[in-house]
Amino acid sequence: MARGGQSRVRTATVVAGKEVLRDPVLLGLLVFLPVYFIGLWGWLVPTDEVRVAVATADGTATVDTDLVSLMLALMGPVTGALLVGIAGMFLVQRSRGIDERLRVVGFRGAELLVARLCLLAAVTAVVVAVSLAVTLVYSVPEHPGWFLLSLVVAGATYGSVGVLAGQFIDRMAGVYLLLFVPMFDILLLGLPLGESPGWADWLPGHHAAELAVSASLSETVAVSHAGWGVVVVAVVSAVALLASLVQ
Amino acid sequence: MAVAPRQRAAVGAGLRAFLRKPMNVALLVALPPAVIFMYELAVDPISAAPGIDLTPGAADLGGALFATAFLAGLLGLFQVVGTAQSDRRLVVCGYHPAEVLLARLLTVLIAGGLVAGITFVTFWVRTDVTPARPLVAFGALLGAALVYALVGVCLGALFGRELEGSLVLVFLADIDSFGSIGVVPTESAVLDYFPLATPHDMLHEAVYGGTVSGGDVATVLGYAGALAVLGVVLVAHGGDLT
Repeated sequence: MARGGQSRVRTATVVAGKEVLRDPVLLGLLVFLPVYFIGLWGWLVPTDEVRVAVATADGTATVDTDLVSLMLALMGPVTGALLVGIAGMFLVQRSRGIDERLRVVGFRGAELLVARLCLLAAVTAVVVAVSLAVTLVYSVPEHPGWFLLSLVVAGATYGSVGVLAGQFIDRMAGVYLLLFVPMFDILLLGLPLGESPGWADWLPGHHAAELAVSASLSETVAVSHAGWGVVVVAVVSAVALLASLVQ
Repeated sequence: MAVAPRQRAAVGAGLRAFLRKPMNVALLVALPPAVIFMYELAVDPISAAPGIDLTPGAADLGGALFATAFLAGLLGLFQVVGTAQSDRRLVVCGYHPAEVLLARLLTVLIAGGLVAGITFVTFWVRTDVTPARPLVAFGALLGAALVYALVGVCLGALFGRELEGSLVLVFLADIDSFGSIGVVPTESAVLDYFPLATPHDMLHEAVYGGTVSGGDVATVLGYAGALAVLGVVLVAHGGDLT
């Protein structure tokens, strides 16, 4: 991107960032909701033993663990997906007025979307940091670094889905979509307690969920899920960018 | 104009504005079967896992309750936030603020009833479950819609913005729907106080036992009454209509 383009992206990011920083309620919710959601589950779930099939570096292995560790392996990723996904959709929709003015003074659509993605990356960082901290209170993953990556991948995946949805769907339908799909994809289908249908492997949060469970419970991490998760983020972000260019 | 025709006009305008959007109609018609179908796909395999003690038909009941409650909650939230400006105009045109507030609540409750009706028909036709007491089962869904619609109204009045209200509603509904079907066995009584707990018990009893507990009905109505009072206080205190 040319120097002028970088400057325009920076300007658009700063303008949108100031809008978020001026909104203490939103900032408070980004910190409070992971504490409430992960914390409540950590407190509610009993420490009963459970046997689950987990992806490892050498295929699938059966692991004995407790329900708290199992549930919290998925609560962090689903929290990131819900918060960043909905924030992404609203960031795109709320900034339409500002974006139209910026277009008038020469900003391009792709530059504006890159700026939104930068802002969303900052939101993701806040949500991921809080989610990791609350998870650690109740359960320490076997591989904290890989678990951190799974939180980032889950948030970034659904953040991009939110940005994409924000360009086409109205808010009420968008919120419904961005509640139901991550819950279904990461939490319900991601729980390794039963046989998931084959097509579940193609859902956007599948690799993030598999990586999170593997990083939390397995002796060796199924790194392939990290790679595929990053590919999913890149593909969905590219589609969102392409959609903004077409519009 | 007398009060009743003015209420009819205000409620009718609110409902028309909602149903005029094709996306809203699509949500009403398409979501209940889609949610119930997806709950079956996701929850049925989990129910076979050792240590998980799910009630029979948990997926169907959970899907029906989620489809009803969350859509009604969103309706309440978006109605309150989205109509704040037009309601102020109605007050300028001579409506009393209490009339406008009542019309707003009636619109949300009628739309919530519509959601409950569509979900009930879907639940009956689409699943293998035949309710022993269909009317009570419908009443349970109506109760879930009523309670969540009022939760949405309260959140809309409290935050006054769609993003913040949506985030809180999403995290409440997520924990509530997941907890009420019992995927995670917990001995804690906290989940019993969440909005969907009693409508879930009512629905389960109506479907499988053919009974209805007066205590459950009173709990749902009490919950809804408390939320209605809170909603009125929040809307009035927020100064939306003054």
